[in-house]
Amino acid sequence: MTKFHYIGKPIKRLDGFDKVTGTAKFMQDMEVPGMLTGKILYSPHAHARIKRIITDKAERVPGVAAVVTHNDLPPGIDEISGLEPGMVLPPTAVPPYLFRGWGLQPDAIVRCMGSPVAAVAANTEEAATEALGLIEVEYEPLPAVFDAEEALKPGAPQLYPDVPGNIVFDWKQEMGNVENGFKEADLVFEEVGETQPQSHLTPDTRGAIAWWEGERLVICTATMSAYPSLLPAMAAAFKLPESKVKIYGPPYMGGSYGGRAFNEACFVLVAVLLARKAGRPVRVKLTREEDMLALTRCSTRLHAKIGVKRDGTITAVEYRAFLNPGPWFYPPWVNRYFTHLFKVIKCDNIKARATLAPTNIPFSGGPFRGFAYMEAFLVAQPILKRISQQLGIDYLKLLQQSFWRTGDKVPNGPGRYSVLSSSGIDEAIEKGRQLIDWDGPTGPDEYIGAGYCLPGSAQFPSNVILRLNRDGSIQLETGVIEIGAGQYTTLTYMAAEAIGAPPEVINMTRSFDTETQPWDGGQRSERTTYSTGLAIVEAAKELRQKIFNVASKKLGAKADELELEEGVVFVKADPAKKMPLSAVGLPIVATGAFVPDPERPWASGPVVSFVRVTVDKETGQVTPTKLVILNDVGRAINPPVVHTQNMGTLSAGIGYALTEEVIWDSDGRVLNANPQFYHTPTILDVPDFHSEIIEPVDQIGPFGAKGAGEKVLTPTALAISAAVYNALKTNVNTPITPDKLLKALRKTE
Amino acid sequence: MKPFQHVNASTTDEAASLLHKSRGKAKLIAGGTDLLGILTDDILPAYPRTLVNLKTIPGLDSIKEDSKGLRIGALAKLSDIAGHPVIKDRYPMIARAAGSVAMPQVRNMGTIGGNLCQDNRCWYYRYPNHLGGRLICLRKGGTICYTLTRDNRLDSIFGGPEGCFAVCPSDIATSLVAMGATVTTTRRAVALQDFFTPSPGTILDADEILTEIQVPRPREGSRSAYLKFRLRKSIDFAMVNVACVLTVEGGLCREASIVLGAVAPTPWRAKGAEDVLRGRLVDDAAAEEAGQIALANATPLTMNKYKVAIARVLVKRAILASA
Repeated sequence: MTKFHYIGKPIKRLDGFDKVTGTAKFMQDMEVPGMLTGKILYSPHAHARIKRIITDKAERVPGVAAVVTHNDLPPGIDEISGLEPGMVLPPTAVPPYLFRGWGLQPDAIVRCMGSPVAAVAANTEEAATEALGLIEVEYEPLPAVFDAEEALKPGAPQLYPDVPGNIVFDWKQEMGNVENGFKEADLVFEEVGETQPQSHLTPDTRGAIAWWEGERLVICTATMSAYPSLLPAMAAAFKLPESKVKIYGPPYMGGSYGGRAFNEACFVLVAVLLARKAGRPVRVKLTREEDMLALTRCSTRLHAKIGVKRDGTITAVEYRAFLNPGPWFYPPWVNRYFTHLFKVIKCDNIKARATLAPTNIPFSGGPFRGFAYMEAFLVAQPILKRISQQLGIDYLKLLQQSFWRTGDKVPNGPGRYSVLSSSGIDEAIEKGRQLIDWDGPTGPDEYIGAGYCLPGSAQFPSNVILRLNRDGSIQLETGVIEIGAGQYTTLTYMAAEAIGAPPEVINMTRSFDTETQPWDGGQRSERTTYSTGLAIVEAAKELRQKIFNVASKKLGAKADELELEEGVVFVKADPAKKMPLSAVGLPIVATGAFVPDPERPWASGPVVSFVRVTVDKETGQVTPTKLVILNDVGRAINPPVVHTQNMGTLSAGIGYALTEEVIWDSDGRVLNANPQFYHTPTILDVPDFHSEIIEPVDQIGPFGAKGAGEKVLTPTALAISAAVYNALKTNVNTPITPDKLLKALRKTE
Repeated sequence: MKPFQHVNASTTDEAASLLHKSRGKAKLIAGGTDLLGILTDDILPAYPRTLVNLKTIPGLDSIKEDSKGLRIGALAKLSDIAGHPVIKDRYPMIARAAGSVAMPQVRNMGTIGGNLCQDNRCWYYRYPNHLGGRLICLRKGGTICYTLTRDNRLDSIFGGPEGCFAVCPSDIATSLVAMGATVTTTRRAVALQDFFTPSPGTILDADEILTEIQVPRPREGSRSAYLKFRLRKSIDFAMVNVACVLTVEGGLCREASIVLGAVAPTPWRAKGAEDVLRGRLVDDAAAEEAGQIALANATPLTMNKYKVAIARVLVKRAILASA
């Protein structure tokens, strides 16, 4: 085993001191001299045409500098595609129009309740709020549709004239021969399941400050996807080269959980338009309620049919999925979802069809922890519970059929496969069985469940610059923002290890800045440690080579005879001949890049959750009492951070399984856009848990690291759902709230 | 929030007089945990010009006990009540109910008076003005109660006599009514049970202030239980709560007081269940029967039948816990 100087052991987080002392700056703290406050007016209708909008009175309110409506949008904004490099869509798909559905719309149609219809910039929040109340809007309500399957029916309300039948995306694919597969089956199981929208509920809400410097646009916002999404979107919206748009972030982001990606453009645009009209910087900071309306997890419905032999062998799988993103477009989401459908249950014969239909539910369809695979796993995997019960086969045994192991070709995109570089699944299952005492006794009303998933990953490039200063200290520039998952610490320590210099002399630039920091694919899909890490390893190689080239003259040895460890350059054969990095005496710059290559094996780590719950069959309440998480992260660069990531995400898994849902009524109105009625688990709702790191040998990622974090949500929700199945002998859609559980009990009894 | 004046009152009379003079344009503020949410979300058509601060009135937060019972000033904080040694010892149900409210931060600010006088939590009534406009429901002078035809999972299972189906959200009210508490206002003294009305929630006139809550000493040998059902172990309002006080002598129930909360526009006394227990051996069968009787007259709406089932079980469990 390789011996590491800096990584693989508990490391004190570099952001820890700033955060506990309150000196860390988040979006909430950002200010620009002369900035105005922007406030947004939202639609009271789920679907309506704006017939008239009068802003005169609002403009006359003292302190108001600008009022914007759809009339202030730059031309062509609704034709801008949000397709990112590397994303594949079927040819029939409608482009992922980034600015449609939520935000000011050039056709003056609001398509969900809580979509912006106007915005005001003023000296004070009070003046802006007063002005909002004076904007007169006349609406012509239009018929609305809230269900994707309904939206596809003839006669359903149409959302976009250029999207006939509300079909944004309809994709079919077959692997093997499903018809024959069903013929081989002894039994066929069918089930329909749904997944609910979930709110990100990040500690800090969305915010942006924008201003114009002539024809140069400057935006300060906490996004996890500045370079691949927001930058091209803003450049396209205002017909500017990307070099004339500067987007930078605050030093820290108050959590993203997936919610700060491509969708940010719709919201940031409001601040940019206000700033352009006011001629001054404008800050728009959403309230908690607004933030909860501004994006949720996509809701889905999946019809599944599974053919199985009596010994549990799965012979055929057929899926029909309906995806409801609200009025927004995001076909790449379906692309991902569709891909993952093929890997939830491993079978040679799989047929799937997925259709994405826009509706008038609130803005949805955005990325969330477990982006797109969570929805696929959460509905398809529970069907195995029914099969295991009916055939009398141990659930874990049945589940194991669907595990992907080292070297397996895993479906990864339409018609594409990737070789899985390593998998610690068997070790995880074995340890988990013991830790939860799978075969052991259960208390009264106590049930055990297990869940598993293999996450997806975002394959985007990363770039890194390393600069050696003349005093021997090193600047690490990455375009990465700390979203709370320990990015600054992890990357700094990986750089230290790769270079051979103490972490104390390395400073990682806080946050991204599209003007000065290199392009990074964003802090999403557990990609930063892996992708930016690989770029760091490459940059470190170049930096070391350049250092050796200079040092070779000073130490009287050839460059390839030198080594660099703990900040000291020395001759390998004669370590007494040495010099500190400060003696290099020259500033040196090195770069490194990670470019995704589909031919390369794919480093993805499975994760398994085991749970014990008690089910109160009289009240319908489910209470987790013990949780075990086993997370294959390849190599844990900083083990305590992996454990805290496990903990943070498992609570969202508990919430998704039991209590969390964005509730809208028959009018399309969100009723619980507040943390009081949106029941995200509190610390008291998280049971005793055990977090285990699984580290199989992996040759692909930096130091063998994969990703860690968001993937824990999916198996945790699945494990709870499987445990509840054991109590009820039927699957219940999440969240498994008392009303649903009691109803299911009445049916089965 | 919109600008308003903030006036510190030094006596309840002064506060009442400020309310009177304002002609409806002033609101009282104590802990503010309910009021600030109402103002931030701007849910009511009328916005107060003045907030009259009660926290500056000396002695209004006192907690005293004498031979008759407990006297709690309306400004006593929920955390102080939950942690008060005498209350924990002799009136444990009140301590438990106070400690079950919301979360520590709210209990440190929120007062018992505010908890009893808080506005309802119907999500249509509370819909924020800045998310597309507040809803003018029946309770605000409109013509529709939205819960009747829409999402009523959290609403009354015992009807809405004034046409409003929002439930009384107070945790502490349920326990106090079960204890036979009385209240004093700047204008009158009434049984707490009669203090609540379906709409607007309490009998208080626009310029009347709740000043004190009195709780009689529990009967010798009586036992009590307070159960609160909610999705999370903190923060949440009750889906259902039940307070039960039993006096059991020689195995037989002598006296019973059973009150349900969050099931009706006011705390709901289960008289039928109390009657069925009196003179009976308190066992599983009796508790079960009492639970059935307590909910026999329930008239759930389209989405809240589950509350009936939960309430029935909670009544049974509360009886068994206090037997």
